[in-house]
Amino acid sequence: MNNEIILIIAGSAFVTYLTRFPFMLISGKKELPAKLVRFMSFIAPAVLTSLIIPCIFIRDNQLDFSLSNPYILAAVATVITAYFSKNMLASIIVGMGCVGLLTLL
Amino acid sequence: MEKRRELIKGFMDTIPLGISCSIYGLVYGVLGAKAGLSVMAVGAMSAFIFAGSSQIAVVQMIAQGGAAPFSVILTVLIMNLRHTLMSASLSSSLKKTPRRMKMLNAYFLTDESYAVTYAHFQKHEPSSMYFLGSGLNIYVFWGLAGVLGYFSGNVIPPALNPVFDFAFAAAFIGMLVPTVKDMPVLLSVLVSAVVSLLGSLYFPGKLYIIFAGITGSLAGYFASSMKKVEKEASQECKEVIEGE
Repeated sequence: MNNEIILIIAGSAFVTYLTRFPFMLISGKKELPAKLVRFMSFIAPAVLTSLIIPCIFIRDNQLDFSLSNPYILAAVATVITAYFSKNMLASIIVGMGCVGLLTLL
Repeated sequence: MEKRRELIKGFMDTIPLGISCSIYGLVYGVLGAKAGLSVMAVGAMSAFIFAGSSQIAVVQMIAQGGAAPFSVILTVLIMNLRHTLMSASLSSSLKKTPRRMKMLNAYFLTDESYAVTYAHFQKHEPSSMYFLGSGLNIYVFWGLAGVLGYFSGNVIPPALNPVFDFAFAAAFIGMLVPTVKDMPVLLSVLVSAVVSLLGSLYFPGKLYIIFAGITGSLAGYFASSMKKVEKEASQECKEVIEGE
């Protein structure tokens, strides 16, 4: 492990614990402000989207909306699977299977 | 004795989720191997960070290269902010639990142990030992699966790399889609999609994740505020009409 990886692991471990313990210690006496709770409910979908979209549409530092980009069809199939099954593992298998079929055949 | 029973019960009740976690953990281990990480790094992340989607995001950012440690850590922080909500929700059931035990519980808090424990507390006497047992279950299953996946990752041929690159996106899609339940969330997703595409082309490093995360959340927040105002307005209209 190089220093950069150690720094990333230590820093990530620290900030993750930082999100877990402070509110655990507030023993239900203080409620979080309702507006903050509502804002925070959008963080997970927004961050997940930002991790997904560039991964699909950016190839070699350029936008690629063409159908020769196998990730687009695979993503559509994954979204449909996730919508109907609500099962992450099924989504992963269908998505990976699609990319496999499109790139290897 | 009572305490030990609660601990074991928490562990046992979480086994189904532990199994599904470990399948996801295998994928994490494979991705870690493909990204060129050492088995120590893959294991240390599970032991110390212990947050599945964040660990996968970290591996992805390392695999793509060019991400400064600071922006990786900031991304992890933003991804895990949801834990504040979960810990606040459980702490109200654990008023009598000593501080030290709560600090320990917090370390083992995950989406899965939260879900199992929250459901259990609705019907039974809340116990921090039950919560701990549930957390330990996920810790063991997730940790072992990651290391196991790492060693299978090394024997998977490079021709399959595009398939495994897509596993990140597929896993995140599997987490995202069930959360899109109304218009404000959909708007938040659309704004984040546009900002992340533009940002990844024009911003340095991985800053686009933070920009897209914040602008997307704000868009959803304001959309939900407007929805609320609309609802209240129509409620008032109704009252006025009924009053007459």
